[in-house]
Amino acid sequence: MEELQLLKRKLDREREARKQAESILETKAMELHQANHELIELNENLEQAILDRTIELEQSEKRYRQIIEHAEDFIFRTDPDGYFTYINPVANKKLGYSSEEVIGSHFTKFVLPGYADELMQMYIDRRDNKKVNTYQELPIVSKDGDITWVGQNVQFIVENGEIKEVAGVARDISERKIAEDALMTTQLRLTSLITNLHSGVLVENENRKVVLANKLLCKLLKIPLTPKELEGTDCKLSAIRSKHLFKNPDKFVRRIDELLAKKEMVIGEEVHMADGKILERDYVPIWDGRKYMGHLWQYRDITEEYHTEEKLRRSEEKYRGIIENMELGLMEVDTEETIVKVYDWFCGMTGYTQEEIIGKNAIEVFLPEEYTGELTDQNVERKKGRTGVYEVQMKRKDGSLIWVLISGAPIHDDKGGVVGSIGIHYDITDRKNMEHDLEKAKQVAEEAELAEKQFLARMSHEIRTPLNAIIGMSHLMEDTILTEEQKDYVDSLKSSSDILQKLISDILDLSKITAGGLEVHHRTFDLVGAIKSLQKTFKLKLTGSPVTITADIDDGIKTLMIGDDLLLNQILLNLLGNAVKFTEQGEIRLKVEQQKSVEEKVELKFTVSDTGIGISPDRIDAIFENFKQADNEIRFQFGGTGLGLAIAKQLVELQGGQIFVSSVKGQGTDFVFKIIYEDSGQLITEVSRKETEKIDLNIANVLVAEDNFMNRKYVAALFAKWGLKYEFAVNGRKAVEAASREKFDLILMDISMPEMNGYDATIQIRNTANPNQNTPIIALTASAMISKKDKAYEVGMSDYLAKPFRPKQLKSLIHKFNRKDDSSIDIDEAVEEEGFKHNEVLNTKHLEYLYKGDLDYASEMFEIFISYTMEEYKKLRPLLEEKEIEKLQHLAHKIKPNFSLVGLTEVEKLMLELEKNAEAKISIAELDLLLLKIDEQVKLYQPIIVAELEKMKTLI
Amino acid sequence: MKGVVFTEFLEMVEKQYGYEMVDKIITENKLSSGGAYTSVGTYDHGEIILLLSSLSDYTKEGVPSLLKAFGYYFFEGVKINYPQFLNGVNNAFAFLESIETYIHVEVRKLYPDAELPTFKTRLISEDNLEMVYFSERKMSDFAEALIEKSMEHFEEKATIKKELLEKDGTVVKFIISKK
Repeated sequence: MEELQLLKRKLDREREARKQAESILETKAMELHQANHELIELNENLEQAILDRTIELEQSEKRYRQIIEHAEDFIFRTDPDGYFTYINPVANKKLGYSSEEVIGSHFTKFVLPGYADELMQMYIDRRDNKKVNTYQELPIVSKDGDITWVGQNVQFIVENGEIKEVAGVARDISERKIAEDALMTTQLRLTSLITNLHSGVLVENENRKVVLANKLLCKLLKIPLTPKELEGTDCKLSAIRSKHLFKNPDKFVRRIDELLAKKEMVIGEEVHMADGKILERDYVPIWDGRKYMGHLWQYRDITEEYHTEEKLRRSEEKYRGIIENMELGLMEVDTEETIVKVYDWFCGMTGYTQEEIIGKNAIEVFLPEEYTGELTDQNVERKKGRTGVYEVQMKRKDGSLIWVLISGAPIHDDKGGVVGSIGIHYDITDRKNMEHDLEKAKQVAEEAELAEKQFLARMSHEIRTPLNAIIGMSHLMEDTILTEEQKDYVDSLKSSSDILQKLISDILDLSKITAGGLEVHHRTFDLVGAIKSLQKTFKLKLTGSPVTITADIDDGIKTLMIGDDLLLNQILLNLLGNAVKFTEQGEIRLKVEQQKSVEEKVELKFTVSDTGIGISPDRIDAIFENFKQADNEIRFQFGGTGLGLAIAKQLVELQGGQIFVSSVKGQGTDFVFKIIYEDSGQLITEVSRKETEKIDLNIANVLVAEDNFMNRKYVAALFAKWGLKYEFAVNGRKAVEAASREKFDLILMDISMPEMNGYDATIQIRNTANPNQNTPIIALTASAMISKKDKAYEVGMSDYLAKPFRPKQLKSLIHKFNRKDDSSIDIDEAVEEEGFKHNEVLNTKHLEYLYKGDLDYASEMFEIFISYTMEEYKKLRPLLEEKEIEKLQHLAHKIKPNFSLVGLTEVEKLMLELEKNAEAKISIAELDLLLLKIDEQVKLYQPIIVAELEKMKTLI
Repeated sequence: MKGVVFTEFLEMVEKQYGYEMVDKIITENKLSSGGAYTSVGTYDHGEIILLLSSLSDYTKEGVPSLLKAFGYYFFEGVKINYPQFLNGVNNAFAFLESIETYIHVEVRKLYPDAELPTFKTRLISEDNLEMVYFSERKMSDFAEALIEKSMEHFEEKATIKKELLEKDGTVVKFIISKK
């Protein structure tokens, strides 16, 4: 029982173990099954991959087929005997045969006849020798006869030791063939060219074996071989063999080794041979990319050229040497101003060495900036092929400047083009310095001269002021009660001071003439009267002397002359004074002859002859010179300044005339001068007769445009006297306004006015619609210049009246524009107030003329002068000091006429001079001198004017 | 622990002491496996300790000597069942060196859950091999028996010196010196 139990337990355990094992194995089996399943799947994937690859392969095959079908190459197959079995479309196209026409035909049918047999032979030979792969080039013929060169690869396809098929690929190589032919031709040409060249040519390969040579080379280097024989020989030895031919054999060999070592091209090297020949050698290395392929030698016989060049060079050197020895600096530049060559002298001039400046820009190195313009102009000329000479400064190396005279000439190349220029430089620094010094010296001299003049004028002025006082006082003294003795003293005083005054005035006149400050004034004057009055004056002077004076006037002179009577008067005074001085007895004759008359011009000849001491011939030329008299003895004996004749001569010449002198020592002297005057056509007698003062005028209303207060007063007085209605305008603008407002019968228009001048006012009146567009306009101006007169007519003025004018002049003008002569204005001629005489120092004639004894009017004018004009006058000097020259001119013009209204006609002249000089913008110094002169006069006359006014007042 | 250890062990017990002994040591221990083992299975190694301990009680033989005897028995089984492990080498040292590098590797391929001891071998000289045993099972006697049987199998004579590197027997060094 126990045992049964045991066995049962054992069995249970065994069963349990078996079940466990089965379960484990089942799990393992499941795992295996799973693994198997995965393997199967993997296998299936592999099959699909193979399928895909197969398709791909098929496609790729198709592509290759397409390539073959469309290839540029001919692809064909033949049977072992050479009959076509296949050709591709390209071959069809190229040959022009269809596949049907080709397939079955033998290949020789398509080969150019001359080549077919040879090709067939080769084909059989290779086929029998089992040469699987072959290549050959052959020309094939298309259906229409065109020849194409092809290169073909042919392959025998062998199976079991027997040729089964022939496959071939042929390519069109026509282009290459053509190129090869062309290359061959070129090679042939080159070879023949080299052979026939006029230079010896030798081409060596990289191992120095001769590749090519020509006959001339063999000849030049005396090689006893033909060019053909020379090919392949070693040059290393031939150089050594030939070296004895050269003047310096070792140098020759050395140089060749040098060239070969460097492998750089060297052209035109000169080689001297022992026999005197000169060769020019080129060495040209030949490179294929970076690979050295050998080199080329070229030898030319230049013996002749060499000698010619040498000659030329020597000649050039000779001339250069000459130029260099001439102290001229030579420099050559190209068109860009780059210095190409300089010579020794040039280097010496500039302080540079050749090395320092060659290759540099000449302008940058040498030229100071201010001359670049000049040089640019010169370069333009050079490029046109023109030469030129100019002066510039140059910078030296040390920075100093030198003056050079450059003669530039273009340099031409052998085609005639300008390639640069050569400049010959001459150092003119010393000359320039001298010029500079001279100029300086001249300036100093001129300044000194001016200073001298100023000094002279100033001194004269300083002398004159006290002298005028002396004269004035002596005149005053004369009016007092004097003893006979005192009268003698006063006479002596008067004559001495007169001489002194004359002397000073001579000096001033002369300086004025030399300075060109004296003007010729043309006036109508009575020449006959002037001569007669001179004769009378001198006759009076010579009373009680054994010398007589006569005047001999041409009967033909019956009219008034136009010219400067004052200058004529001065000339004659000087000449007559001179005659009186040197004549002790006998006669002084003044003769006037009419020489010729063309239209209105009359040439008059004046002769002053005396029976005086005469002038020795050797001194006669000197008498017209300043400060010179016939001789020192004369000066001692007769005194005088020696200026009188000099002034006379200058005054004659100033009027366009000439003066001559002739003399016999001890017998007398003749002075002859000629002046051309204008004939006025007016008879002398007509003028001298007094015209009736009464004129008929229908002019009732006059516009007077005048800025000067005194002038307005003057005109007002006249018009009041003549019974004319008038209106004043103080400037041009006011005149235009008045003219547009009211109709006038006549307009008097001052030219120089503030705001708007007379010209502009006239233009406005004439050219704008107004009642006075056709009203006569008379210009009033202090200036008698022709140009101003012309301008007046030009702007539309009707006539011209110079200030100061006399009542009669104005009256005659008004008369001229009077349209109705029947109507009359009686002009009441004031009866002269007898018994009043103006101070003789004043221009009494002028005063009487102006006022006709109307003391009331005259005193009014004098009053205005003192209160107004003198005040204005004082402003002149400050204006000068402030250099307000234009204002000065204007003020001088304005107050100028007022001086003549009080009888100071001389001062008026000076004022006119001041005005003109200011207008001419002469130097301040000279204006100062002039003003000083005027000051002196004004100072002198002012008390006289005051006294005159007082005197007049007592009589009214 | 691999089922083969249990099946070989119970087979040896049955051969030497009869199935009654097998039944006794299984029955008196409450084994989770119920004492039914198959060589392809895997079981808790504590069960072999319980079985060894029971056998020792009945036979009055110490556990180390029982383990040694089991080692001799197990080697004979290996020779029959897994001859490929022994055929691959021609000497004992080579075989011993191949346990860790070859046999255990192959075992793990078949039974990924197998818990195996670790051997570190070092050839000190031509005739001396150092072999260190690492295992939580503390079955170095079983290992010593296997080493002895290996020497014997390759007909090589050697002395085996045993040294406990850890007192609990988890790390043990063997010096095998050929004679």
